[in-house]
Amino acid sequence: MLEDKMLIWKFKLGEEAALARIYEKYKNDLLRIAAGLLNRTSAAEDIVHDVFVTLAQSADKLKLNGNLKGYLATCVVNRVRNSNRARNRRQDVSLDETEPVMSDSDKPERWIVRNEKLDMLNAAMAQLPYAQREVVILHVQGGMKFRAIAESQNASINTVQSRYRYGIDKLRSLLNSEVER
Amino acid sequence: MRSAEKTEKFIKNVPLETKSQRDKEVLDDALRALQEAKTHAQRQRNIWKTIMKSKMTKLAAAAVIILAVLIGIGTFDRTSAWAQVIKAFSEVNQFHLKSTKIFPDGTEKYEEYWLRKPDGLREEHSQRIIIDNGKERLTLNRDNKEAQFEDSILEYRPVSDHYMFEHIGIFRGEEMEGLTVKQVKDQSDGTTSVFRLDYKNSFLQNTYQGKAWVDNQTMLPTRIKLQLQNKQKDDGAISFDEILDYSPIPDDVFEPVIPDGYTLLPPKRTQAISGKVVDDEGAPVQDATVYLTDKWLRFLRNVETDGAGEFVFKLPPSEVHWVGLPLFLRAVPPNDPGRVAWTIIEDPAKKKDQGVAIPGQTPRVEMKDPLFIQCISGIVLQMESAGTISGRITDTQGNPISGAEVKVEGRAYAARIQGMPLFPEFGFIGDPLGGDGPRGELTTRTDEQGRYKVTNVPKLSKRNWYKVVASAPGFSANEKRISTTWTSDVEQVDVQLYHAGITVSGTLMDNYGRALGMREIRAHIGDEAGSRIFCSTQTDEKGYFTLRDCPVSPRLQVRAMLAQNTWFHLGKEKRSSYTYYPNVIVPVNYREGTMQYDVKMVAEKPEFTIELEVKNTEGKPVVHYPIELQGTSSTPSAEWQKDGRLTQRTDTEGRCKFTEAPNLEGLRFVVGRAHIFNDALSKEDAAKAKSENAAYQWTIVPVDVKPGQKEYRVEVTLLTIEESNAKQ
Repeated sequence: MLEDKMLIWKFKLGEEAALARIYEKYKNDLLRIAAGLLNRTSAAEDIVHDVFVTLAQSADKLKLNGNLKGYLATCVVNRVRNSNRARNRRQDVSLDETEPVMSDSDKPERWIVRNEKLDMLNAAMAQLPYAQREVVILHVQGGMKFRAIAESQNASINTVQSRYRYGIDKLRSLLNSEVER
Repeated sequence: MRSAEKTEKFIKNVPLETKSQRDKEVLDDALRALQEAKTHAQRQRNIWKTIMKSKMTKLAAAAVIILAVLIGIGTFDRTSAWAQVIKAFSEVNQFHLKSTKIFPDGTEKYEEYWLRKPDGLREEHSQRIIIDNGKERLTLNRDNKEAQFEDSILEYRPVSDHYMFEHIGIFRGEEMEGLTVKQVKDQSDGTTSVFRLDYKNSFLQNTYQGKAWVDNQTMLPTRIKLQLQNKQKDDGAISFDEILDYSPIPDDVFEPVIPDGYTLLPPKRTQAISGKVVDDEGAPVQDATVYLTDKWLRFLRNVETDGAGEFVFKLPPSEVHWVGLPLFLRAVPPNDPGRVAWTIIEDPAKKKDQGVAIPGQTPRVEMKDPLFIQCISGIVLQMESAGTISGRITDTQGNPISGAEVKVEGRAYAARIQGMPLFPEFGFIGDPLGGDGPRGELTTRTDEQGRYKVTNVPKLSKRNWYKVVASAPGFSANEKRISTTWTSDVEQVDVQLYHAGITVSGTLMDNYGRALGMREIRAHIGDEAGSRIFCSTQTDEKGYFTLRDCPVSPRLQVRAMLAQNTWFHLGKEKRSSYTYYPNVIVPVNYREGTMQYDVKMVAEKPEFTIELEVKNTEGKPVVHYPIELQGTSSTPSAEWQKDGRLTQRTDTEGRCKFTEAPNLEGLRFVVGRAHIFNDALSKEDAAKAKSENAAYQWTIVPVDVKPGQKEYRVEVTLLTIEESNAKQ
C-alpha cells in the first residue's frame, strides 16, 4: 500500500518508471479480472490495454490516494459493463455468454498465454450469473471490500455478500475435483 | 481449510502468463500516452500557470514558450517565411541566448544559455550556473557560493534535445491554435525582417504578443520580444526580451572553472552497479568486457574490468533515466572464446525460485525505493564453459556473402516451467544475451568467405534455443532457430539468404469483382504453413498492393490472409464488419532476370448453402449434435467459425443448414467433437445434449464439391461407439 501511494505520487508527476511499475505490478491481476468477467480473452486484453492507456492519459487529473488496485479493477469492471451493455443492445450474444476462451491464443497478437487452470476457471465462471461473477472476481482477485463492491454495483452489502456466497458455492461445486487437490 | 477458502485460493492463484512482446507493446502505448499527456498538460496549463503565479521558479519554462512558438508554427505552414525561420533554427549547431524578463512589479531576471552540439552546455540562471561538457557537470550555487561536480548527463539528455534546441519544442507534433504570425513589411528592411507574433489561448485567457527580428541572410531570429498577459488574473504583463547570437562560442565557456570565493562540495555520489570478474579458480580477470542489459532493454552498456578484475557501471540519475531490475550480465575474458560468465540480478522484492541455477553469489542490492536502484555491489561473475555458434551465410547458389550482419538471440527455457522462456519468466522484455545488439543480441559480421563466429555464448539452461538472424544489403533477412543441449561446445548454423529485389504488384478482388481493401498480403517461400514472412503489405481501398524487395526464388508465392480477422486493432465496429474469405495463395512464376511481377488474386466469396441431416442407424434424428465445417489445408480461424457461424448444432429434426459457407479445399464436416461458438442452447441443455449423445462415434464427412454447384445436401448416418467397434 505504501508503495502504491508512492507510485501514484510519482506517476502523477509524470514519471515513466512509476507507470512501468504500476503496469508491471497490476497487469496480470487486471488481465485475470477481465478474463474472469468476460470469457473472451481478446476482449479482456483490449480492455486492460485500454485501461492502462487511459490511466496514462489522465496522469495529471487522477484523483486517488488509496487503493490503486481497487481503482484499476473498477476501471476494468466499468469497461466490461459498458461492453456488455453495448452487446446487449445489439442482442447478438447474451450477457452470460458461456463461450469459453477462444482457441486462437497462439497467434502472435494474443497477450495471454492459455493454460488449463485458467480455462477451467473461466469455464466455471461462465456459469455464474454476471453479478455474482463480478462480486467473486472483484473480491478475490481485485481485493475489494464488499462495501466498495456494493457501492459499485448499487446494491446493499447483504445482497453483495449473498451473491458472493452463492457464487463461491457454485464455483466450488463446479471446480470440485480441481480445488480439493 | 474450508472448501470455500480453497476455492478462493484456487481463483487467486490461477496461473496467468503473458507474451512479452505484447507486454512491451502495451507498455509502450501507455508510456507514449503519458508523454503526450505531459506535453499537453504543460502546454495547456502548467507552464502558463507557473509563469503567472510564481516568478521565482521555472524561468526556463518561459524561454521554452518563446522558442516553442517560434517553432510550433512550422507544423502547419511550411512555405511561409516564418517556416524558413523555423527550419534554419532547427539546423543551427550552436547559439548564445541572453534573456531578460520583466515582471509586473518591475523586478527583472536575467538568464543566459550557451548551447553547442554535441557536448557543450552552459546555463546561467539567477541562482545557479550549470556547466556540462559531456564528461562532468558543474553546478554553481550563486546564493550560498557552493560548487559541486557530478557526472555529465548529456549522454541521457543530449544538447540537441535541450528544450532550447528542440525542433518543435514542447509542442512536438501539435499545432498551436490561436497563433498568428505576420511579417511587418514597413518595419522590415534589406537586412532584417520583422514578424509580429500573436497568440491567444481562449481557454486560459492568456494573450501574448510580440515581435521577432530575423536576419534576412541566415533566416535566423536575432531578437524576440514578447509580452504575456493573463486576463483572468489581471496582475499585469510579463515581458521577455531575448537576444540570440550564432557566432562560434569559445571553448572556455564550457570549461568547468570554479570562481573565487566558492566552496567546493564533495562530488555527488553516482549510483553504480559494481562487482568483479573471476576465472574458474577465483582469480581476478583483467580486461574482461562486461555487458549489462536491463529489464526493459533501455540501458545496454559495457565496461572493461581493471587490474583487480573489478568493474563499475555508473547509473544515470533516476530523474534523468531509469534502469529496471532484473539485470542480465555477461562477462567475456580478453583472449578466450571458450569461457564466459553470466548472472541475472533479480528484483529482491520479487525473487522466487525459477527452477534454474543462476551462477554467481547473491550481490547486495540497495534500492532507493521500489523503483530505483540505489546501488548494487558484490556481483561476482565466475567463468564457466561457453558455447560457440558459427556457420556460413551464403546466397541460394552457395556463394558466400561477406559483411553480412549476424545476430544471435537466446531463449532458454526454465527447467521446471515447461514452455516458459527463461527471460520473460524473470521479467525481461525479450531474450537478451548480453551483446551489442539493440535488444541485447550477440552480433558479428561475416568474413570474406561468408563465415561468422559468435563465441562466449552463455549456456543458460539444460536446453537452449537460439535464433540466428542474418541480413545483408541486397538480400532479404532470414533466420534459423536451433535447439541445443551443448553436448559439443560448437554449434554450426548456416543461413541462406535470398537476393532481394523482386517487386510484386497486383490486385485482390473477390469473384464478383469487388475490391478487397485493407487486407494483409504476404510474400513467402514455399508452401509450409508456418514459413517465414519475407515481406508484407496491405491492399489499398481499390484492392491494389505492391510488395517490394521480395526474395528472389522460383518458389516465391504471395498469400492473401483473408481467413483471419486482421482488423481487430481497429476497434469493434470495424472488426465486426470484416468479411471472411478462404486465404488465396498465388505462386509468382519467377523467370530468370525478371524482377517485376503482376498477380491477380481472386478470393472466392463464401456462398455455398449446405444442408446436413444426421440420423442414427435406426433412422432417428440425432438432436443437438455439434457440427463444424472445415477444410483440410485452409482451416478457417476460430474467429471465422464464430463470426461466420461455421459451427452449429443439429435441430430437433437432426438437421442444420450452413449458409455463406466457403469453398475450401477438402471441404468437410466434423460431426461431433466440435466446439460450438455462439451456442443457442443454455449451458444446462448443452450438457444434457452432450450426455444424451455420448453414445455416438464422432466422424468426418467430406462434402463432394462440384464445379458451379452452390447448394448441397449431405446426409449422415451416425454409428454408435458400440456399432463402430463391432464394425471394426
